[in-house]
Parts: sequence; C-alpha cells; structure tokens
Amino acid sequence: MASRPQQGGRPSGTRFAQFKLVLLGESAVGKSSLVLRFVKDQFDDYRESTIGAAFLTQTIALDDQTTVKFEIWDTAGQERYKSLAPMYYRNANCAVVVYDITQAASLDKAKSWVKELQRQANENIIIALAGNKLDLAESDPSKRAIEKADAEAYAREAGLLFFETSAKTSENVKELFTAIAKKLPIEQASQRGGMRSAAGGRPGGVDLGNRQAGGQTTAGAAGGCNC
Amino acid sequence: PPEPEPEPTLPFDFHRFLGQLRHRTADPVARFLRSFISEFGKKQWMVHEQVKIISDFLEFISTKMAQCEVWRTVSEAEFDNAREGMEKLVMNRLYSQTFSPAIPSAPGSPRKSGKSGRSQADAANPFGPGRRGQHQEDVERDEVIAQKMRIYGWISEEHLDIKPIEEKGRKFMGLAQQELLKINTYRAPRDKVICVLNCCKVIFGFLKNAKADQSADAFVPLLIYTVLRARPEHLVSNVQYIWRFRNQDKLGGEAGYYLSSLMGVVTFIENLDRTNLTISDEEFERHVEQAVSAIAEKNKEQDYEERLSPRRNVSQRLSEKAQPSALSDDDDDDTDAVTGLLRTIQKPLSSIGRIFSDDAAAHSNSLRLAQPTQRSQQRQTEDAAARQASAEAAEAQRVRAREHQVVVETLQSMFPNLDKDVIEDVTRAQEGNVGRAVDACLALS
Repeated sequence: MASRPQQGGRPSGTRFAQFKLVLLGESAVGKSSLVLRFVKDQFDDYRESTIGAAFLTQTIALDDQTTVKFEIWDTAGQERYKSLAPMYYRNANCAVVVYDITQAASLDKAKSWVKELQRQANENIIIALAGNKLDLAESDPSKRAIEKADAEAYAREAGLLFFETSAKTSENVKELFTAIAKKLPIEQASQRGGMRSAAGGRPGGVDLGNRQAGGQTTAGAAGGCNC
Repeated sequence: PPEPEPEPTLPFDFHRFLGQLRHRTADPVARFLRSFISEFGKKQWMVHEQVKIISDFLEFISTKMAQCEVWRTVSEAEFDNAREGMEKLVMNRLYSQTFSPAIPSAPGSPRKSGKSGRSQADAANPFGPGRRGQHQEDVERDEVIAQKMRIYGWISEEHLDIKPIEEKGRKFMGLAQQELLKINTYRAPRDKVICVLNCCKVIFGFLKNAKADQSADAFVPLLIYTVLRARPEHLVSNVQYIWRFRNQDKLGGEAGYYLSSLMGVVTFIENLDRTNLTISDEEFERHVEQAVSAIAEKNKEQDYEERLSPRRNVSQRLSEKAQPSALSDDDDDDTDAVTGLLRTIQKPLSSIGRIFSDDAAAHSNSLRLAQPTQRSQQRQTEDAAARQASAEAAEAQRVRAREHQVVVETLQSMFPNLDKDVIEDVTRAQEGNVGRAVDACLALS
C-alpha cells in the first residue's frame, strides 16, 4: 500500500525562509513603533493584528525568487525585566537593538544589549543597531544627542549593521529590515526548512532556562552588566 | 504578497481522530501504540531520553499512519489533526511518567528532614523507582516559586508600574487568571499550551479594550501580575513539560512567544526581590513581614497537628537537640520562625524551598497517582487504547460543557452591552477558545 504523497513544496527556483528577529532597547526609544511602521507600511490594507504589537510577522520579497518572513519578538525595555531577555533572544537569527538619537544614555544601554547578545545569543546572530527618532533631529538639530558618526564608528567596530531611522516618517525603516534580510543565510534556511533548522532545533532545549546545566544562558545574563 | 497568519482551517477534533484510530485499517497503528505505551513503562528513563523516545515514536507512528487507508488520502489539515490527536493520546497515557509532579516521589527521599543540605534528587536511590533528576528539580523549583508567590501575594499594579486597573479591566484580568489556572486540568501538552495562549490573548484583549500600548513593555508586567494573582500550582513543571513534549513544529510563532514570556516570568518571580519593584524599603519590609508571619502561622498550625503523631515527636526532639539554646516558649518559637524565614528570603532560592518542604511533602502526597503502568500492561483487548481514550474524551467533553457556561458568564459581565445569545454563539463558534472569543466580542462591542 502506498503511503500518502509528500505535501507542499514551493514552485522550483523560489526560495522562502523564515527567521526569528528579536527587538531590544530601552522603553521609549520607539522599538514597537519602528516595527509597527515596518509591518504596516509594507501593505496598506494591513489589518490590525489581533494580538498587539508584541509578536508580529512580516514578509518581504528580496527579489522575484526570494521571500523572507520575519517573526518579530518584542521584549520589555524596562530595566527590571532585563533578566527575561534571554528567553526571547534564544534561537533568534537576528536582532534589532534600538536607541534614541536624542537620548545619550540610550546608546549605552544599546551597547550593553549588543555585548550581551554577542556573548549569549546564537553564534551567527545578525545584529543591527538602529538610532531611532531621526525625525526629531531633522526638524531641530539641537535635539540630537548622539552624533551619527560616533554611533556608526561603534557599529563598524562591533560588526553591526547600522541605520538611523524614523518610525514616524518611515525613513530607513524598510532599508533596515531589508539589509538584515540580505545578510541572513537564506539558502541554508530554505533548504533545511526554515527558521527551526536554521536556529538549531529544539528551542531552548530540554532544560528551562538552563539554570542547572552550566547556568550560562540566564545566570550569565542576569549577572551581566548593569550599568 | 503577504501571507495571512494561518488560522487553523480545521479546529482540532480529538473525537474524530479516535474514530479513525478505531477503523479496521488503523489496527497496525493501534498495535504499535499499545506496545509502545507498555514498553515505555517498563523502564525509568531520564528526561532527555523520554523526550527523544517520545518524539521519535511520534515521528515513526506518523509514517505508519500515513500508510493506513483511513488517513492515506485525507487532506494535510486532516492528517495534522490525526498527528495532534496521537500526541495528545500518547501524552495523556504517559502523563504519570512524564509530568514531574505526577511521578511518585522516590522512596526514602529525605523529605521529612527537609533541612538537610543535600538535594533530594541526589539523596534518592538512583536506581529505584520514583522521581529523580530533572523531574525532581522541577518539583523543587515548583515549591520554591510557589513559596515566592505566597510571599509576594500582596504585589499590586503600582509595584509593577501598571496603570490602575478599572473594574472592567479586573474582569479581563480575572479571566486571564482563570485560563492560566486551567493548565493543571489538562494533561496533553497541546491543551496546556492553549491555556497559556488564552491567558495571554485575554491580556492583549484587555490592553486593546483599554486602548493602551500593546507592546511587550505593557504585556510583560501584566503577565507577571496575572501569574502572581493566579498562583498556578506546578508552574515550572508545566512549562518544562510543554517545552519537552509538545511537537516542536508547533512551538514556533505566537505560541512560542507566549511560552517564552511565561518562562521569562518564571525566572523573574524566582529572582524577585525589592529591586525589581517600585516600592519603598519600609513598605516592602512591612508587606514581606506580614506575608511571612502568615505563612509561619500556617506552618505552625500544621506542625501542631503533626506533633500528635509519635514520629513527629522524634524529629521534634532532634531539632531541639540541634538548637539547645532555643526556648520552648511558644511566643519565642514564633519569633524565631519569623526571623528565620526573613533571613532565608535573602538566601538562594533552594534553601527557601527546603524550609517549607514539610509543607510541600504533605502536598505532594495528594498528587501521588495510582500507578497505572502495571494495569495497562495487562490490558490485552484489541482496542483498549482507543476505549481508554474515548473515556478521556467523554470526560473532556463534560469539562468543556462546564467551561462553556463559565466563559459565557464571564464574557457577559465583560461585555454587558452584548446580547447573551450573541455571546453564546460567539463562544460556540470559537469552540470555547477564550482568546478568540474575547477577540470576537471586542470586534462586536
């Protein structure tokens, strides 16, 4: 007796891959509005998600053959919830770390996220640094607290993608996500069936938070830089 | 073109799967299932072995199912229903061996002398039957977090910088708690996930209804608040169980986001102290002291009852010997207990757990389920697995009917301007799924 035919498959020659993107940064730097801009701007008839802005998906076409779907995980930006972050960035393929170009301290916070990601997250994670609220600095240059060149130099040194963005005017928003998509291992992921394989199997493994085994994932993060 | 989030085209129907499993051509599958369940119970596996064995079996059985006439030509959605049904059936049957609190604690584990420094997992006979290793750790963490939740039961909105919740909001939050608490009424990982999902959806329903920001900044504190209010039993064990035994392909996306959030909340509560809250030192100390005295008072009552048994007298004497300076005066006992408890709050979590392990031992006794393994091995009738499952399904249906009423009543109080019949219809249309029913009511109101 024959078994059921293998289902699905996309037309040959096309590539589709799904990636998990985690969003980090202080509260009030405009993390969520950045993502809402990205998700809503893409198509006008976008219907308000029924589950709010904490978890969103968006698909972009890189070219005729290549489609990338982002699964976007928002994190709470308040300092006291910092210890929750490892649960969110675990198995993330990419991260957007957001700061506010009008708030000097927000870049320091962003840098500490970058450090933590580079230490704790997936080895091949693509990290993008986004200096948000560009519109404020453009309408009143005196509001700018962080020079673009400084942030850019830091990003280069740390090996990050870098954009100054405005969720309000949508400047550079699509560019940011497109640049990330272009750096992702699409070939690999679409061959192996997308995000899950690309991210390395069972999310989080068997042990919740790895508290006992090695203790690195959460313990290291919780004890990390508090500056 | 954008892909719409795939809503399940076909609501999950366990009954239909069981019907298919009874089909003559599914006999080989039923036989594999039976022998798997029986073989699994013959040995005690480590957690990671269980995870591997069960997922391998589900993989294997799904290829066998694909060859049965009854499933060979069905749609992908229908076949997925069958795979989901099989996971539920298998996990329902293996629950008492895989869900940590349901596994009987290892004999000879030094529960009663809970203050001994060694982990109970290490002390238990490593080869005898009973709960060990990660299963034991889960249960210990359950006890610790339960204790934390008892100590921090006074936390209210302002301590987490949540805007005061109005009356209507309280109904939403009450419903979110209710949904979360159902996690212990289900055995299948899939059903437990749905409880988490519904709880979170109701929270987002609240935020949407309040026209508030719906980002993680707003959601996470509310989830913490909900968990602290609901105080679900076996929280760590439940989350671990889902993570271990739920089909990994179904743990991505939205469900994965909510589960990760709940795991984050678990860590947050485990490490909760004054620095995580918006509160003055004085207020914090006052609240904690009150909570701790209340707990100590309760423990003392239990202690008193236990003192009536001779065995307890022995350990009582032992502890007196250990602390020769302690006065036997009741008032002093009380003060000692409170200061001791207060001290432990600063210590690592595990020690708090041990302080209360007497309390917890009494509790875990009630969970000791009759071991069905022996009996199930003797069950030789051809369709035993399916019959057992039908009984489970019938019970589940009774539970659903009761829940339906509760959901309708709660939604009615949340949406007083909606007609009761409309709410009945909505709830029925959403198969009692609270998350979706709230969404639908929000759209209508």
